[in-house]
Amino acid sequence: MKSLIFSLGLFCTVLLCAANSFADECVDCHVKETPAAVEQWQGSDHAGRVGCASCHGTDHDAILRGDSPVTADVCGQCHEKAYLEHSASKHGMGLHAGWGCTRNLKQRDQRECRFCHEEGSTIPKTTVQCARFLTQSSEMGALGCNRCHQVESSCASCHTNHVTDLAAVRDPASCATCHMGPDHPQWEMWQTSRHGVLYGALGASVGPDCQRCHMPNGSHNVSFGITMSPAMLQDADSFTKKRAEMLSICSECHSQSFSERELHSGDTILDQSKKLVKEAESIIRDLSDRNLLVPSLAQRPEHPLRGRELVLDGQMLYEDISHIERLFFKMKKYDLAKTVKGAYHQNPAYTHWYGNAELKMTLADIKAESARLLASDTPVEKRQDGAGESDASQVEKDLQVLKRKHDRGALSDTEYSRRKYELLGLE
Amino acid sequence: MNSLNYSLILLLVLLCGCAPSPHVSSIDGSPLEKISAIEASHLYAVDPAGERVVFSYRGLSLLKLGSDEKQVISLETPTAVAWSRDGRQFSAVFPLPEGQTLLSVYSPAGFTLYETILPVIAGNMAWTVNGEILVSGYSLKVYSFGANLSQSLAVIKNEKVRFIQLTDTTLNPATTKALQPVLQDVLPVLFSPLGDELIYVRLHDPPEFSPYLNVLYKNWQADGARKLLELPLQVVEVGWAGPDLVEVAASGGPHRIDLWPSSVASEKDNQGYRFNAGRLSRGETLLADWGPDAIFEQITGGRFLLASGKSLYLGAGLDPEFPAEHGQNEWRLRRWRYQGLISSEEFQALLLEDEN
Repeated sequence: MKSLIFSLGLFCTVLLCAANSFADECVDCHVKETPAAVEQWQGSDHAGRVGCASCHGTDHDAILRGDSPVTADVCGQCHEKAYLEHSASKHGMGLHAGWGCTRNLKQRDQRECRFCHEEGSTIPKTTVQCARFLTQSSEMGALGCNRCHQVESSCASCHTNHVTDLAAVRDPASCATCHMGPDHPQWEMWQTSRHGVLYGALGASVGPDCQRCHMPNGSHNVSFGITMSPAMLQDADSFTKKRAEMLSICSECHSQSFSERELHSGDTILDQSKKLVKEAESIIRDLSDRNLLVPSLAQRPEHPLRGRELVLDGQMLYEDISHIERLFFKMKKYDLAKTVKGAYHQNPAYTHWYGNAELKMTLADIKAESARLLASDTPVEKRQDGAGESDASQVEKDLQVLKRKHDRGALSDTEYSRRKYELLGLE
Repeated sequence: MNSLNYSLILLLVLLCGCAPSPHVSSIDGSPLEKISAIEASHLYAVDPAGERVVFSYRGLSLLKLGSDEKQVISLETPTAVAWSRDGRQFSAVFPLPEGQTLLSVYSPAGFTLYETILPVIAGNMAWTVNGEILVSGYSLKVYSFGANLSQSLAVIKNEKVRFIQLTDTTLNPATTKALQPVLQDVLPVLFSPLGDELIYVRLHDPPEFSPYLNVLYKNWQADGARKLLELPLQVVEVGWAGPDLVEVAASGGPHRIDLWPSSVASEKDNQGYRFNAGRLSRGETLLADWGPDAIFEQITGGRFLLASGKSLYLGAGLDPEFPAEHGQNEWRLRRWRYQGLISSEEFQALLLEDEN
């Protein structure tokens, strides 16, 4: 037994020495090539314990080609708890943030599986599910999309490459690089909210920062307490559980009843806002049924994931679309986000002026644009001998609208038949 | 010897007398009246009133039925002739060099109203109930690596021509060489009685496989075509066996395709006359079989025209209530049915309502 323990210890020592030996080889060169990286590593907790090869491997050619990134699973070999928490959270599906794998979610549209899988296969045919990403250039995808969404596989997104000082990641500004901007301005909202102002004035013990609420006790499960993410929320029980998680944080400073009321108000604002978005969506779908969108679906490039379908959900594009769709994109992606996230981050200006007011004004714009398109609808052609022909052509147009509605599932078979019979004057 | 000669002569006379006389029989067995020789069975058209017939024999001629009044319209042989539904015009297409076709439109008296050149080799022609002239045709552009075969439908109205592309195919050099002389036979086009739909054949010639044919069905006012059959390369004949029933004579036996299986033939349809592949039927009763090359046309007053064996005949004995008339509403309803805007049942109900 003693000899076994001795052998194991000797083996680990040899390994460590080997790693450090490799590190020494890397340092010799990189102290000249990338001196800051070497300095950072030497000043980190990894120095003397985790050598370069432990993370980067030894294939220098592969490293130079970019084929050997230091991914989260590499870090996870030692930082298992953080890795598992991260993987279970929204950050763990950053590169798949369109939907994530939805197979375990109830009442999911089976068509969503086709985004990634051939029928019957568990092997994904694509690892990217974001239509907006697919329509950009590779350079835009790299800088404009992946810089944030690579959080799925890159711990360095938050932790930096070689510095292990947790002060870097404990500062809420480390979240700001990604969690800001028109579609998710959490940084701006928090900064100017009561929480943010108090944090700035009196520190984290008084004003909670991002990490206090969303990564309590250093947990890497950033979806802790989040109730409005469909990818994470499976059913009503999940909602209750998630809400309880968030309340447990709020209750550290506030009374339970106050916290419940505040978050419930946020839920109500979410429901109210979603109704407005739904109203806008139905207006646009009706226009599409009437073939009034310009460019029409036939005139624009096919959607990379849905083909010739009108896409108004999370896979909606912001290019090659009609003006009214552009308004809807702003309404759903920006105005709704500001309204709801403003509410949940306790920022009245974002909830109201940047959010709700803009949401409703955009809906007004959508209605006005819809009226304009309907008014501009080409009059039915009149034939020379056509007593009643124009009526028949209008009936044909109406039949086409009904068919489009039926084909996209907006009308049941029964309702479709009934409305057709009504239109055609059949009994 | 005299008695022997006499017997021989008598025998010859008897033999001649017993030899079948060169006449085609009507539905009641009586001989039909031959009114003219004709170049080919399909090269005639009669006006809706049943008064005039235009046909091709050593050129294009116009004949007033029941008289000897014959007028030569053109010395050229047309590819197809057709009469408008209102009887106010008739048309003919004549082949031109370099893959072109001359479309000529005439008044009932045979005066040329207008002409236009179509950049295709014309195949078939029809007038629609709306007054459009439909001309099916194809163009074949031969290159060193093969050829591009493009089939199209010319729609002419008020002297304006627009083309609807039906098919566009690339052919291998070997296929081009083999089929170029017989393309017209390999690519038949059949118009519906209303002129709103057509059955046509598309040639496919994939690089690594044998060429084959698709028989397609299309309403030319709507997008897309429906594939009815896939066949090996061969000469195919298509014909209407009923209002929505197509018969394709091809290898493996005739294929009967119901375009709208859930529709039920109306009583009028069931009592109407049907002509297909040389056979005239009424309901399930076969009335006459004039051979596969015969072309039959029912006209007013219980009469009919029949082209068979390079002759054009006039016959009688049909029920004067038919042929059925088709209105603009039926045209519209058929388009709606094709586009999937109404079902077959709804189509039938609306048609019945219209008829009543």
